[in-house]
Amino acid sequence: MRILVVEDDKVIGDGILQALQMQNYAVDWVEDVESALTAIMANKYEFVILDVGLPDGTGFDVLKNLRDSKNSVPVLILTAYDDVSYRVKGLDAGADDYLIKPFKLEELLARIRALRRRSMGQANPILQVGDVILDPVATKVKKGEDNVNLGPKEFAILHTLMEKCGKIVTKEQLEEGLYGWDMEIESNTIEVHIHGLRKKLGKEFIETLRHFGYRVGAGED
Amino acid sequence: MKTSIKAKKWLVLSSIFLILIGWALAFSIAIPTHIRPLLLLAIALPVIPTLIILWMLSHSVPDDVMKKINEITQRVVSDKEIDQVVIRTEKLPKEVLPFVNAINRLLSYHHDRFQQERDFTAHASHELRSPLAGIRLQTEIAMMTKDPIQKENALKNVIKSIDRGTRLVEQLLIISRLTNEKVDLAKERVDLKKLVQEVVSENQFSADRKQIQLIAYLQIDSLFVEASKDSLYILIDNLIRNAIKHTPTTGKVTVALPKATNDSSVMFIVEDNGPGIPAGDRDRVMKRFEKGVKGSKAGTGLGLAIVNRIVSLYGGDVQLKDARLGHGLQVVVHLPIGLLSVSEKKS
Repeated sequence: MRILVVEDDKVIGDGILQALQMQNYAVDWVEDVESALTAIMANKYEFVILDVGLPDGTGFDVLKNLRDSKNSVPVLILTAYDDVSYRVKGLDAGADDYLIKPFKLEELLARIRALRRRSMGQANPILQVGDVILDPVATKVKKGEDNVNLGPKEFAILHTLMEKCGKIVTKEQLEEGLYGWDMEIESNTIEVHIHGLRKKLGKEFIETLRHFGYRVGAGED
Repeated sequence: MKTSIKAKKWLVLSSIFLILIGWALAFSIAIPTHIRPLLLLAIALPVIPTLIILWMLSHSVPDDVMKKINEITQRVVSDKEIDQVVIRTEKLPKEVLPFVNAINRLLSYHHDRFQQERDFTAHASHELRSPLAGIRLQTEIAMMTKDPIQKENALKNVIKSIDRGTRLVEQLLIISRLTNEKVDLAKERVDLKKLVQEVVSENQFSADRKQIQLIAYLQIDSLFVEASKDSLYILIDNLIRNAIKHTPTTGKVTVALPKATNDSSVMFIVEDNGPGIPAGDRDRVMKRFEKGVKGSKAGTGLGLAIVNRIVSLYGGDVQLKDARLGHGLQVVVHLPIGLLSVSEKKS
C-alpha cells in the first residue's frame, strides 16, 4: 500500500516515514500543500496522512481538493489542536479519522489498518482466501494449520492481492504499493516475489493473467 | 440629587441661625433673668429633634439616589454574546453615566486581559505538542529498530525535539514575565559594547553550523547606559537568533551598534540576508505566536513579540525594514536610554 504523508515538522515527518517503512508500506513525504497536490496528481495513493498547519496553507486545502476531484482515498488528519470544533471541521471536510499530537505510533498504525479495511469494505481484519489466512496486525500468514514465513515484500504483495480477492491486480499497482520515491524499482522484483509466494502457498494459489496482472481467489468473488 | 443635598444644608444652617436669634433675643430683651433659660429652652426644643433628623438624613443616602443605584445593579448583566459582564447605559441619568462608563472600561480591560491569558495558555499548549509528538515518535522508532544507524538518528531527533521544547518553555517564561503588569527593569550600569560582543559570541556556534558570517560593527569606545542588563541581553539575543534562523546557509548576519546622534538614546541594527518579511506581514509577526510564514512550525513565534515587549517597556520603538542590499530583513531598535557621562562612568 502506498501512503502520502503531508507534514512540515521535520522530526515528526521523518518519524512517520520511518515507522511506515518499517511496516513495509511505500511512503512519500511532502512538506507543503503545493507538493501534496502535485504528488496526488502524479500517483495513486491508498492512504493520506495530513497535517493541518502547513507553511502555504492548511491540510483542509488538500482535503478539499481531494474531495472536490471525487478522490475518496482515506484521509487521516494529524493536528496539535484538540478543540472539538477543529475535529468537527476536519471530519465535515471529508476526513475519515483524526489523531491529536502527540500520538502513539501503535495507534497511528492501527487506525491506518482500520481505515484501509473500511475503504475495502471489510469489517474483519483477518483475510482469508481458500485455506490461506492473513493477519495484517500480527503480519502473519497461515496455510491451513501451518505458519508460513514470508519476507516483508512478499507479505505486502500477498496482502494487496488478498484484499482485492477475485480482482486482477496489475504489476504496476503492486510496484506502487512497494516503493516510495526514494527507492529504486528493480525490474523483475514482482515476478521474483510472486515466484517465492507460489513456492510457499502452492502454485495455483496466485493466477497469472498474461499482459494483465495477477489474481487470487478467482472463484470466490 | 445635588439639589436635595443642597436644600438640606440650607435647612441645617437656617435652624442654627434660628437658635442663635433665639439666644440673642433671650439675652437682649428685658426679660426676667430666671425666665431666660426657660425661654431659651422653649425656642430650642422644637429645633433640636429637627436638627437630629436632618443630621441623620444628611449622612444616609437619599432614597432617590438609592433607587438609581438599585437600578444600575439591575443593569449589571452578563452579556452572553460577547462573553463579558457590562452595565447597560441606555436611559441612565446623565449624572451617573461617567461613573458607569468608567466601571465598564475597567470591566472590559480585565475581560481583555483574561481573554489574552486564555489564548496564550491555549496557544502555548498547542505549540508544545509538536516537539512532544516528535520525541514520542522518534523514541518509539529507536526502540523498534534493530539497525544501529537508524537508532542513532532517531535518538538525535529526540534531542533535537527536546531542545526545541526547552527553547519554547524558556521563551514562554520570558514573555509571561514581561507581560506582568508591573515589570521591574532593574537599573544597573551596562556596557552595551561588551553586551553585544557577549551575545554575538554566544551565537557564534549556531552561525558557524550554518556557515553564516556573523559580524558585529561596534565603536572603539565602550557605551555605558543605565538599564536592565538581562532585558537588553534577551532583546539582542532574540534579534540575532531570529536572523540566523531565517538566513540560508552561507548567508550573512550583521549587528551594528552605531554611535547615536545624541546622548539620550541608543540604537541597535540587526540585518540578515534571508527571505525578509513582506511589508503587509510586519505588524502581524510582532504579535505572540505569529510566524513569518503562516502555519510554519519553525521557531516559537515568540522572538519578535519578546523584542517588541522589551522595547515598549523602555518606551522605545522597533522597525522592520527591507535590508539595504538585495533581500533580507533589517530590524532597527531605538531605546530612549541616556548614555552615562564620563564622570558617571568612574563612579
